[in-house]
Amino acid sequence: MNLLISIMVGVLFGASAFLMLARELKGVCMGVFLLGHGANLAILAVSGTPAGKLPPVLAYGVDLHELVDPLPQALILTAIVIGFAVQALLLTIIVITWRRHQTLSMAVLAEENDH
Amino acid sequence: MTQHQIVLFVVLPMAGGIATMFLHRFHMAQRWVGAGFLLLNIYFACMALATVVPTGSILVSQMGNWPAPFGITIAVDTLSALMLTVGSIVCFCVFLYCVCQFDRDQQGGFFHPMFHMLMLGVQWSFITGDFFNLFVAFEIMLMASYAIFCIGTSKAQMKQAYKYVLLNLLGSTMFVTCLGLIYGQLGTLNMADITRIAMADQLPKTSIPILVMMVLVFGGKTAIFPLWYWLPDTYHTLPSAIGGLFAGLLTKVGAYVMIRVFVMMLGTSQAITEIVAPFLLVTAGITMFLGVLGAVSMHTVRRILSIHIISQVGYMLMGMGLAITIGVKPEIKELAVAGAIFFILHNMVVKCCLFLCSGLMIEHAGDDDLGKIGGLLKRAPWLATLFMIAALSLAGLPPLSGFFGKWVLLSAGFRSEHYIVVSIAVLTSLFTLLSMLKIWSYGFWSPAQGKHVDKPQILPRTVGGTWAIALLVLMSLSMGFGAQKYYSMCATAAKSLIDPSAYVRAVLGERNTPKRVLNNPVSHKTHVQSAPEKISH
Amino acid sequence: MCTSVILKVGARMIVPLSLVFAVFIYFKGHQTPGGGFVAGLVAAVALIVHRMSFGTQSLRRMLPFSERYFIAIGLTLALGTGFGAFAQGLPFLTSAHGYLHLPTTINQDYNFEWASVMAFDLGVFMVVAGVVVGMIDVLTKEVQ
Repeated sequence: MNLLISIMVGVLFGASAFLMLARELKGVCMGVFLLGHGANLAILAVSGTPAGKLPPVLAYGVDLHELVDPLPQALILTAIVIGFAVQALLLTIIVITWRRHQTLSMAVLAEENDH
Repeated sequence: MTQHQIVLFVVLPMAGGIATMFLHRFHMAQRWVGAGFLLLNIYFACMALATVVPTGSILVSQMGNWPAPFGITIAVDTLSALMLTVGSIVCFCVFLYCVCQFDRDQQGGFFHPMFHMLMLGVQWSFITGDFFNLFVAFEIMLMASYAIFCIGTSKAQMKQAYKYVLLNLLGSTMFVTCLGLIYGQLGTLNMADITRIAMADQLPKTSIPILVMMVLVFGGKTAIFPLWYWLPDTYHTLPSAIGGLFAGLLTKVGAYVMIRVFVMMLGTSQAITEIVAPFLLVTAGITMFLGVLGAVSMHTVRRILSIHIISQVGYMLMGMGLAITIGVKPEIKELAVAGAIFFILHNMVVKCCLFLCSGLMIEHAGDDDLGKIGGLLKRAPWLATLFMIAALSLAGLPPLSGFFGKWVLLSAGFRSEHYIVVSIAVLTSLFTLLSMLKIWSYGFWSPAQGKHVDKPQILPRTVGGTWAIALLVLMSLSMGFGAQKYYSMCATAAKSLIDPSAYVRAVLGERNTPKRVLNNPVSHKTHVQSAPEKISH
Repeated sequence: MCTSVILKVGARMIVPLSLVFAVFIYFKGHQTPGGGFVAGLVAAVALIVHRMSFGTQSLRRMLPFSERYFIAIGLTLALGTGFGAFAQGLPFLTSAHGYLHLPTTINQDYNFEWASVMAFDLGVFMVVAGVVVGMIDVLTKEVQ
């Protein structure tokens, strides 16, 4: 399970690196979004393999050692919420950039910088 | 100030943000309410400083009453209190400037909530005792800064905005990945708990690369040598006041966190310092020298100032590097950290002040390109005087605050026999003076040209802005003439950072505090067995 | 606004149901999975479905005030909860809890467990709902 998650994290990071090298701002943003998901998965892998363990919901008569470590999940939840907000902001920036420049191409934007 | 009141440093700016959000249609009310909250904040910061400094005590509060390594801890020690006090004063001055100089549309309905939220993020990172909360605080601070960055959405701003946002996002993602891995290795994210593990020399060997990687995370935020490329391109597009706020607070938060993490938390772990210390010292030299060379080559006031931020970060890095170099005597380490803290405080005030000055120069002359302006000395003698004091202070001339920060750092460098970095630091100071004199001679002395010559009938309203600058200059002067007072506070802070057992005891309680292990020759092989028990697995 | 009849008819049933479901998740969240955040998302989805089928004006009429005030009120609630403990000299956000006997419930032995965290959660609910609705509003303004 952990191996699978690690491979998945690698794939996500690789895909996001590829996307971040794109020529359009859209692709770059998608790359950043994927990177966030990769990071979240990496944290999930930290909580150990969940095989044979119960979800971390406290109930009477459950041995605490049978539960999965809940803290990484809490961390991921927070990171997801923050990522959610940041993604919305980034999308808004793209929309505004489009409105001002009528293009999302990095090359054109960089050229406009010089003038 | 009692223990649990320190949470006010988070609550007050947040309440300010909420209140101004409710009032987003009423500009005057927003201003007055905001100013009230900021003044209250300064008051509480001074109270905290007055409580903490005389006894060197540490105020700790556990959120929700959950005990330390499990719950969220916030703690105010001397370093935090100093940063809070100076930070809140800088914030207030920038606020004053914004309110007096900005047009109404630039302030918009949501500038004020974002301003308070930015302050919330900054203050939270100053007082948090928990790594993950540091991440959250950073995110709040950055999110507010993105929003402030985009206010006005002018073409030039939007071109740079996505660069700034994307690079910071990369840094944040790296940070959160590091945090996950650290939790996997150490089973805790509480700063005091990690300090305890480092002091007992129990860091598992596998955690060391991850902890070292944090240099890159915080280095990106602080703009150290290989990671500073984003800064000079972005800051100069901002309105001057916002540039001043970012220059005065955001990079300094990075520097503060680096001191907290690498000097206090990990400074006792030899395995980490032997990698980080040489890196920091080398980067310090390159950062300060390249930064100042960039500043000398620029010809726009805001560009000079923004690339100067990088050069100044070099001095802070030098202090940190000296403080964790193996083989340096403890008293010299304390000297170096105290110097770095003094320098950060001085830089927060002066850098922000210079940015505000550049804003008023633009108000008068209509531009900040040094080729197109001149003769501002006659037009605005007060501005010229204040600018001169701040600029000389930045360059480090004797009775002013910059001199003392540099003096302490240089003497620490001399006494620990790091002559190369010391000589680079001295050279950098000379170039700093050169670049400041460039602004002075082109902007204030050279034959008059610019808007104030072409359209002399237009008199910009600059009284409020000048007052804001004057307050900051007064602050800087007090740090220069009262250097002994400030330095002794910095020294108290430095002492508790070099020997963090008091911090650990305050947060974790008496029971969990280990005896200090000084340069323990225990071999690394025993680490894995003695690694702390993890909560899971 | 061109939407199909199917969506409009469907939305009439889906929106109230989802809103009730959001309230259910909110109350369930104290001890079991659920809580303010998820409930806020569910409510936001319901509101967005309403907006998709009946238009922005209809949503504006439905909400008592602008979604921006939702955010501000939610934050106030969350902050106020923490302040309650703070005023009594306890650390910020310390939770109080107790049991409430509800005579109207069918099961007479049932005691409702309340906690001051629930007010905090209500704040989270409002912030999330407000943020999501506001975000979609801003982002779709350009498209229309």
